[in-house]
Amino acid sequence: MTYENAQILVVDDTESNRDVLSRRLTRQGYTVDSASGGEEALAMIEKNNYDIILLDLMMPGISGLDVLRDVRKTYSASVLPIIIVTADQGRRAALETLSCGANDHVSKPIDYGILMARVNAQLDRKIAETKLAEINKNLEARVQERTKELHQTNQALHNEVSEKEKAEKALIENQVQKNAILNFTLNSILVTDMHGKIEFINRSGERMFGSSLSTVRHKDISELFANGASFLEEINKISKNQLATGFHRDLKAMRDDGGIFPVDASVRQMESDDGTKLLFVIADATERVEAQEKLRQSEMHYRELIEQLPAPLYVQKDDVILFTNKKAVELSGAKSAKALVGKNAFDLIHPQDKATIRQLQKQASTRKGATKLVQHKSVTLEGKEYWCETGIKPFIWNGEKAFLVFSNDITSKKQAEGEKVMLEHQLRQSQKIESLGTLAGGIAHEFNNLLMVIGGFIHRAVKYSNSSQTVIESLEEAEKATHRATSITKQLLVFSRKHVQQLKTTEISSQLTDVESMLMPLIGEKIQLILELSDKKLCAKIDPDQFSQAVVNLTINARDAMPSGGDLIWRLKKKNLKTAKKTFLGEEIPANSYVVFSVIDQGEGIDSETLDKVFDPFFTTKKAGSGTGLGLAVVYGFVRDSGGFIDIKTKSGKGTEFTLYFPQSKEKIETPIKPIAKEVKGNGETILLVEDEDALRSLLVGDLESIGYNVISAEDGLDGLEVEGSFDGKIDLLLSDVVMPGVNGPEMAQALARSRPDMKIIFMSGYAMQDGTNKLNIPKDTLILSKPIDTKTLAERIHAVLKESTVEINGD
Amino acid sequence: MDTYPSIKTEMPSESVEHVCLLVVEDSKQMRKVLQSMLSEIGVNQVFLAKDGAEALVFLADCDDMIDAVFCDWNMPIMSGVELLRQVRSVDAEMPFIMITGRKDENSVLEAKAAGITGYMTKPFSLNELESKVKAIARLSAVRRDGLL
Repeated sequence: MTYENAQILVVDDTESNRDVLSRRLTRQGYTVDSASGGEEALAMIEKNNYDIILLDLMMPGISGLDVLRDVRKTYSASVLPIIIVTADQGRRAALETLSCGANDHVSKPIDYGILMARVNAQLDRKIAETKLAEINKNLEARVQERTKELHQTNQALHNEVSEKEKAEKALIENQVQKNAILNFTLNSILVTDMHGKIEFINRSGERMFGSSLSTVRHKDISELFANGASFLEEINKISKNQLATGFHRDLKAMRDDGGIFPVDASVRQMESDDGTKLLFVIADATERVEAQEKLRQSEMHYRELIEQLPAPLYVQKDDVILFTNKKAVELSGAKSAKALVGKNAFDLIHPQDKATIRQLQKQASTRKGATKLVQHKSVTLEGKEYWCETGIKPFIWNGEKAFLVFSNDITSKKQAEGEKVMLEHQLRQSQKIESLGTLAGGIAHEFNNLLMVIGGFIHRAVKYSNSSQTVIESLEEAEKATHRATSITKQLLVFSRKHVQQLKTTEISSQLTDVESMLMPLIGEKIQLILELSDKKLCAKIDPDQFSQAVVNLTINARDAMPSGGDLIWRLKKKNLKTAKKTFLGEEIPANSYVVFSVIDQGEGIDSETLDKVFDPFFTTKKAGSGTGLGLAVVYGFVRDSGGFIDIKTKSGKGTEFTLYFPQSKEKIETPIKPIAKEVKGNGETILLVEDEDALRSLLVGDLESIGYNVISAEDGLDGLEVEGSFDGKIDLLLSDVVMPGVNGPEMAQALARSRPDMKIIFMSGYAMQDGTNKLNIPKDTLILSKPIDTKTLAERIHAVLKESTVEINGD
Repeated sequence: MDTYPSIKTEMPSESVEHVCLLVVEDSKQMRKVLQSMLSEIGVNQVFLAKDGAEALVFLADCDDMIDAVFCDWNMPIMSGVELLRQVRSVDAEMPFIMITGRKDENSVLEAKAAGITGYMTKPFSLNELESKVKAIARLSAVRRDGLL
């Protein structure tokens, strides 16, 4: 830009002013445009690139100030200088324009010299500024270029530096990590030379062993272990290869204070700058070992619980035993659990119960809980039977469905139940025998009186009969039948134990010899009677006649048990029972010395059903008519009444043994009363007969009178007193029934004895009076005859009693 | 009698004087007759009841002082057998003599089954009554001594 081509815009609303200015400026060589108003001026500034603007301030429309403000928004004062042309009086306004960005101002009226100078100055400044700007621009470009270069160099340098820093940092971090690992691991880390001399120990090591590096240094690694020497030896022995890969041992380590604790020690060889070293990593195993110990104990407790359980337990899958306890092994008869595991569980179930257990298993598989307990028979491996109560519960064993079979040995319980059933049975048996006895006794007693009457009258009828032979024979037949009936009632009384026994201390073997001779013809040829009699003289207090009867009955039974013959043994021996023993009926034989007599046959034995009824009166297995069924009933009654016991042992197909136990008697043997051969007769002695049974009374009166006695009779106790009271003569004997309605025999006898102390007394009774004597107040030595009694015997007894009295009187 | 000096002895405790009897009889006339007969024999203590109910009331109080009951079988409301059963239910031993007009076997059996101690058939003589009372006196003496 030069002055010459400088473009100037003149802005003035007054045309004359514009012209004058334009001309003057053009003369100076400038290119001049002009604008009449602000609006026009702004438009022109927009279009053209003016170097300077001369701006009138006072214009209509847009004022000069507005134009100035507008232009300055776009162009700075140095780019487009603006000189304000204003009237002198607008000095204040001119000053204001300067603050708004005007470069200079010229007052009106214009001094063109000053104006030109000022325009030139502005132009000079502008030119200079432009030039400076250009220089600056160049300079800056160069500086920028240089700066860029510098920056690049710097960047390169910086990159280099950060790489290095990073590497350094990584290095540091690595070291820190290593240190951290070394020092914060719970394991002890030690480095030793190849001889075990410690060169490094980490902090955990110090803590673990209670030593610092300083105290440990130059110590030997072997000193850290309870048996370190051998550990070191082992290290020395093993191959390089193995040492390079490392090996591991469980050891006992030793602290400074001598405390011993378990450790896991690993050793490996490592190469370092200083040569080959040994690296030890030692972990404190106290917790692990303790935990293991706890686990082991806990396992042991559970194992022990299961093993010591007094009930058998099995784990079973697909019928195979997978696990079992001690009790199960014991019960199964296996040698060990190993012998049982793997076996089929059903091998231990009794064949007849296998289906039951199978069913139980089926039940168990469809439910969650255990099944109910089922009683069944089990077998040991050897096939021995025992009773179990078993339940099954499904459960998971080693991750698979299996059965837990829990059982209970109830063999002894079952046995006890069996015993209870047997005892109950025995009790029922003995109760049955007792009630049968009562019934039989009652019937027999009633019949005895009647049979005595019938028999007595028949006897008398025969004696005094003048009738034909037919009548006599008929009567005799009737008499025989009466005798048979009497014998039956007598046997019934024996069975019912209401019979009066004549107990005498008897030597049994001699009694047996007597019976033997009588029995021989009955036994027959097919049967061999073998006598096994003790040499000793064994005595018991029994009724010898009853005993003989019992032996006959037992022997006949034994004979009948062996229709095709065999050995029949009589065995007599002494037996000391130290402890009480029970018979098959459940009766207890107390400890005592017994004379034991057995009759043994080789027959078919007795089945249990028959055995239950064996003593029942009228029970017989023999053909109708060949036995009364009273034989064994009589034996039973006799034995029990003698204070003895009877037991039966029988085995199917082998035979039967009847054994009689009599308490051994040490008393002197009584000689049997010799029967009086000739018929005894009375000598006119007076007998007071008291009997409530009318028929019997009249029979007895007749009989006694017929053999020479004077008889007065009464029908009951009170009547007896009356009869005696009104009889003034001597009464030698009172023959009285015991049980009578109203006043009984003994009471009456007592009243009678007051007025007649010399009168002898004989009682007659249908019942055995042993038990009742005291209750009825019968004097101890009074003779009691058991009904029925035949005339002959009665006569003998009366004779004996009256004779006794005579002897006594004579003795006085 | 001289041959057998000690065959029979009367004991003072067996005297009828000590006997105490209860007579149960519905007929007033019969009661009078019985009372005079007993008095003739020597029984001083005789109580009279006109029927079973009166007898039971008396026995309930004085059971222990009575040695025997003499009772008519045939009475209205409560028969002699019925009274006997009532007595037996509390006292099994009290001597009970039934006085009856019938002596057929069935009647006697019935009375025996019910538990009579003895019976007397009407009409009876003074001797018969005395014999009975004496027997009762002796029985009572034995029983009393037994209790001592």
